Amino acid sequence: MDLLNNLLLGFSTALSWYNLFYAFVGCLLGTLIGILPGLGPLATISMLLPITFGMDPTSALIMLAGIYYGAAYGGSTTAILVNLPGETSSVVTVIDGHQMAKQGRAGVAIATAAIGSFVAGCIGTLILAAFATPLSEMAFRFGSAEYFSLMVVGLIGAVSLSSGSVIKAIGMIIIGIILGTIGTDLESGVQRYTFGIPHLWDGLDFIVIAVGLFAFGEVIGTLEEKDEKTEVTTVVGRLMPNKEDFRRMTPSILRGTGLGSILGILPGAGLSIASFMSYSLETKVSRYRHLLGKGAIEGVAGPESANNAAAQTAFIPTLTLGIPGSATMALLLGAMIMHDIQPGPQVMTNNPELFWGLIASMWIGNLMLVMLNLPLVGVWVKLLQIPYHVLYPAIMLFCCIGVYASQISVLDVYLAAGFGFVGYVFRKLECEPAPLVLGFVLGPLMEAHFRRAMVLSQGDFTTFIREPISAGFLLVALLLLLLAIVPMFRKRRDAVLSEAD
Amino acid sequence: MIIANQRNFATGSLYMTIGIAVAIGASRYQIGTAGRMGPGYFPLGLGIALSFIGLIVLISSLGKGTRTRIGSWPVRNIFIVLSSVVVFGFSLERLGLIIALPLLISISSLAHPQCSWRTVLGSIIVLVPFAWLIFIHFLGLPFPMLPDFSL
Repeated sequence: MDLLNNLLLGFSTALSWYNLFYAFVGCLLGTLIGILPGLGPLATISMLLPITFGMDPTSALIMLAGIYYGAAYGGSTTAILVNLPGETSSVVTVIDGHQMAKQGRAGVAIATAAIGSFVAGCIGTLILAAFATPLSEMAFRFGSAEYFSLMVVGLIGAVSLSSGSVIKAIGMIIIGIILGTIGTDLESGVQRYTFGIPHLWDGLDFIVIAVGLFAFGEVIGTLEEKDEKTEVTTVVGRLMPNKEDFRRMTPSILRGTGLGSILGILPGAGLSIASFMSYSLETKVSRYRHLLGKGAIEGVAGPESANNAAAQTAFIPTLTLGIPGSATMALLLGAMIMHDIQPGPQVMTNNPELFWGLIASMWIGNLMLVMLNLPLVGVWVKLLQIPYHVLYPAIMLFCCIGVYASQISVLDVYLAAGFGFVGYVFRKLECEPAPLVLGFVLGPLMEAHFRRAMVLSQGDFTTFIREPISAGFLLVALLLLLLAIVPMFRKRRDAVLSEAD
Repeated sequence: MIIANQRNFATGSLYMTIGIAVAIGASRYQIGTAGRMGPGYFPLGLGIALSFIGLIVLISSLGKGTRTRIGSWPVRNIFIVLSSVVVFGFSLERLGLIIALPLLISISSLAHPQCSWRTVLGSIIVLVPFAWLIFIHFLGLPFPMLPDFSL
């Protein structure tokens, strides 16, 4: 019954006209920007974050969540219409989605993605609502040692399941944590690494890092790529799937949703793994597996549901434990901190309208996505035809204004330019910048818990393995690490991930 | 010794440089003991860990194997894009959005081979009022719109 009451509270918050408006604007903007090729969800969110500055925290988070799944959804439209994934999570949608488009069934593919995402989003939101209370009650019992170890699991999980070199990614996490130490040390009041600049006493602004590394870095990176003329499918065709389509997509949607929901909860698994695993599941169990790769509706329905279900359940660790599982979630967590909400289990008890309002708005947002995307397909097609040389100055404008507006500081603009350079260098060296953001967001909390745990244990490092829960977390972290490093597992992981790329 | 993987060699050196610099910086703050950590303890540990990881990456890049190169640097584009940001920052509080934004748009456009003065002009005509409408009119952000003549 509690759940019902909570959901009622949530809907009464989310259904207020201004929150509905913000959810709508969030979905619209997220889809709009998410559709543009070469602009992933990370860059989209960091670019649009500043728009929420003046709002009250609940509305701001509702809008950001809308941007988040709007961006996740927008990528799949791009994948279907252009043979080019807007982001990694829609890589597999390209395979069958674009084949369908070539056969004149782009409309059906887009509608299938929308329906699958909607079903998955609804179920994912329910799971999130059901898990939230027990998980955060559990988290309340955690001491500092447990929290520290849990964060280690989150960080290691995020790198061990992502593609690329594990050891380089761990290095990036540490660089992120180091950047997080800049500013006033809360315990001693000492200024660390501020180089005598008063502006840095409060630490680096997280939007400076996000815009610099992702948005500026991405612009420079995209400009470097040779301008390949990509073919945009302009004939969308009939939108409504027929009976046969519905019959075929249903099992795939359900399978994808189940898989995505589980994977979304795991730290670091993220959307791309979910959609890839779902595709490979379809190739094994679907009755129409022989058609996959040739424009089978299952190849769109499964992965799209999986990635949307994962997008919803990824909120579970973020909202209940305050531990983001992916860089995108770290951005949302950073946004919460900017709005003076300390993420963690106490959010649910201290800000119940915010918490349940956000969850209810996710369901509403998913509905809005369906209503937005189907009638607006024509607009999206037009949007895809904007050439990059018109687009990127506008991206730069949004980013620069956003960085300045965050603290009304010109210094931040210069710092963001610096991080743009750093972001490009990392890109060139094949160091993923995403783990850095995770480390930066979690770093200060990690240090605080680490120091507190060490004070309590009077300087005994074994406290982390003597507390049973903490030891369990560290064991999980170790297993995840082994999974990524030990050659036997590594080969499998690389095979899975390289197909996902 | 032959550098097989240029990328990892550079990454390793970069990690080690940052790690050592951070550790040296940390040693200037009070370190304290494990039971009562000073502000320097945690960063010192991070710096040491990062340089250690850098060393591993560096060593792994050596040896024979297939050689991978970093490739060329688009120095011109990096310079144009980032300097457009710096020029925006420099001009914003002095000259206001009405000048800073057109500067940003026109300088950053130079990085693309297909840019023409027509599209740049078009972008400026569309984007500057749009930015004013959203950020100043609706969101009420305290941006200077016009040049500040007192400076």
